[in-house]
Amino acid sequence: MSIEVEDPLVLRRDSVLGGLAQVRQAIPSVAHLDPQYGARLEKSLKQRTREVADELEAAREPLETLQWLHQGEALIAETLVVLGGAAARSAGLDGGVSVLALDWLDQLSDAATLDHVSAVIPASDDFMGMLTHVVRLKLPVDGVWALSVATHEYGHFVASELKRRKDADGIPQAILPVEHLLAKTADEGEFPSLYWHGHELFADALATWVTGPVHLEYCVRYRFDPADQSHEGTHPSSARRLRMQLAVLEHLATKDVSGYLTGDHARLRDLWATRAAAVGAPPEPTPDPQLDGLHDKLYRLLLKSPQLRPIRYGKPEAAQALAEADLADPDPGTTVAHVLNAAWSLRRDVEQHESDADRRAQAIAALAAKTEAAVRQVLDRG
Amino acid sequence: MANDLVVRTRVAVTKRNLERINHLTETIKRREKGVAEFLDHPTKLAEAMTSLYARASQLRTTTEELADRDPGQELIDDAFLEQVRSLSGEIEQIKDLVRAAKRESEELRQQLFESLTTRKDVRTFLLERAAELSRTLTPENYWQNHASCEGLFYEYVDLLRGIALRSARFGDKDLTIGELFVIADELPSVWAPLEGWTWQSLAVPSRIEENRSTDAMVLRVGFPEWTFWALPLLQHEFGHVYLVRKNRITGESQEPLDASLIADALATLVTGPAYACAMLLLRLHPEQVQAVEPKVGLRAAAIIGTLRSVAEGQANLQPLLTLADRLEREWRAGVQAAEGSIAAHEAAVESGTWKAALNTARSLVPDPVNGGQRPLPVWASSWGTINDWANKLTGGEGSMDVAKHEDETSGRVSLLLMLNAAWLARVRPQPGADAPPEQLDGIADRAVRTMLDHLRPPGARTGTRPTANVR
Repeated sequence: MSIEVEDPLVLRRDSVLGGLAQVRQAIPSVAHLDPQYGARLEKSLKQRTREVADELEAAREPLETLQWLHQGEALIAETLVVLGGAAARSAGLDGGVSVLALDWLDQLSDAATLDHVSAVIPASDDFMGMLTHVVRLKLPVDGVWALSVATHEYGHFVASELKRRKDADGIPQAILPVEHLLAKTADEGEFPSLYWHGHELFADALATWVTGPVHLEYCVRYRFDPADQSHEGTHPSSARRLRMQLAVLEHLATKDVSGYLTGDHARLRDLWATRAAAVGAPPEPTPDPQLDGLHDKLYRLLLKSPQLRPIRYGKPEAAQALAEADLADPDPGTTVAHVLNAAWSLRRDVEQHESDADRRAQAIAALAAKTEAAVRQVLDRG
Repeated sequence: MANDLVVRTRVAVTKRNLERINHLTETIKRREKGVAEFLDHPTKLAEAMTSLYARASQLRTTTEELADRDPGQELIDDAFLEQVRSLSGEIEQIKDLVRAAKRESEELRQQLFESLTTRKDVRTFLLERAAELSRTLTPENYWQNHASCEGLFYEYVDLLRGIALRSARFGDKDLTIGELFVIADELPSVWAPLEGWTWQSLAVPSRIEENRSTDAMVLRVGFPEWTFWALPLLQHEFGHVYLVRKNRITGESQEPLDASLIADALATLVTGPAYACAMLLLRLHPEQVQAVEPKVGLRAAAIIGTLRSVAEGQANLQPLLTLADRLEREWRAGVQAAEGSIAAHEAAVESGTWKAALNTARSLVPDPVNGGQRPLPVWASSWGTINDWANKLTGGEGSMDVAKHEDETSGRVSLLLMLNAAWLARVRPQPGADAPPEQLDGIADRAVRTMLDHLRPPGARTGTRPTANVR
């Protein structure tokens, strides 16, 4: 006697639909954990879960059902992370950095006339949730020194949101130029990873565009490994990522009459070269025609976007002047990027002149606190 | 015994002239007397107006109260009330006019009259020296003291002439000579004190500049360099004063060329690229860079080399190195265009003579090399601020908070920063970023106005000048 069992796809669909319904019910609990985020997340997550559930219910073909199943499962997984992140935030595990990051990204979005991200939360890894538009910052957070990482994740968001109007046979169309380029390149190259690698390169480029030398400095010191020459998985090699950041910084330097960015470019390039030499690795990435071509196109796309011009880093002398004032009383017009650059400048001074390790660590910790206060002051000023 | 008529006559006349020097302050006061009394009138009038205004106000108040008390009884005629109000209003307007006149007369007083009260060096080195010589001069020692007396007479004439020029309000519509020299007076305050001594004399407009030490520590600024852009040149003169003062303490001395190079290195260390730009672009003659006479070439090399030495090894001063490189390229091109000797220029750059002068200069100025809390000259540790102000001087938005860069120990540091900011707006590390020629007057004007507003806040008299202490 055979037992009739339901189609696994149907079972899975029902499971996901049930999960999405539970997510909608659970979303208000975010407000209990974190009132500030509750309001922001409730609207975007509820809307998104409803959209996916509606599509899943309407799907008839197996392939279409599978596609929406993946979306639904990913959305449930992201929501789990969001809940965990909200709890971590309310417990202060991130030292308050995600609050600063969110307010900063909101300012950038306003300046670039883009939507806001949903939230910034601490998590086990840096990530941009493309379904929930939630930015995750990796724990342990390196405090305010890692604040620029938020702009890298924001770069992923910008890649998915940046629109351009294009005329097709006289009919205006809105396209997403970054997404379009990456999808087309991956498709033509028959190499799906190109899409992800390109996304990372654009995110790196955007982070440098917004912060100037700061994100580069953080990456070289904390994240990038010169021995990492591979580009497997979703990320290209560190050398390739650095190359993109240096290219953007070099472009910013051409607009800078003070000469500071030229000096920063040379300093960071030399720092990387020294680290690479120390491990016997070449400072330049392994040539790759596909990625090299993608680098150039993404670089040009960034430089030519009028929407992103308002958030381009400039006037580095304002950062230096703020450093000379020991981060006190930022002038009107000072940006968060200026504050971070000023902080790094002061940190390099400490590292250059303070030889005692304990005193150096104390001075840097005190500097971090002062930097957070200055960032807050600039953000509150609007 | 020297008692001939020639000597006796000269001694008598010299003593009379020395006494005249000793009464310099009274001489100046007599000149000012009539004008000063006239300028007092608005103040006296303002005091009288206070009483009159108070009475008019009281009359108005009383009249209005009477009018309000019983409207039906018409104790006060409407026309009368209106006349009282009108009279009170006119008196108030006159009071405002008198107040404005009082402010203007005080500003005019500042421009016209130089107080020598705070010029301690003038008192010490000129007036008291003259009094001492007058007391001790005899026919027997006349010829030994003749040169000293002549020196004092030159100083006296230059001082009187300089004060007259400063207070005559000559100048163009934007800036008088007097205002320019108010700023010039403050520049030596940024030098660290030497064994407790700080300069307290006067900068005067003159026909040529004086490189030798002046007993009254008077600094001369020669025409045609009575411009904002040439102000840093004064620091070379003060470098000589500083060196002479130091030599008096240590008993050392230098050959004239070495003294000049040390003065250049000192001025560059203390003042910054503004000095380098002023010297190279306004003062030194590139056609005089010749092998047979190395002075000009060595001076240029000393200035550029000193600038480089401040920036080398400093992570945040790469732009300053770029600027020094540019100045050397421009100077070299200038030497070539003026048919000076490139070989002499290169030899000067390699020479150890200016490097030795730089080492001597560093030993005299505690900040740049000898460590401590401020290992960099103050202008170098404020290079970001200078850049920021350079942008604002060329029409960028935002204000320049000049006062926050000074305290009781720093002297008029903000003036240095502003001079450097103006020159940086004019001469950037990258040539393409220089301010266009049509903006230069505006840059200078904005810089001068900011400096004068800081030195003489509108409506306030200048108080005692700050004295610089060891930083």
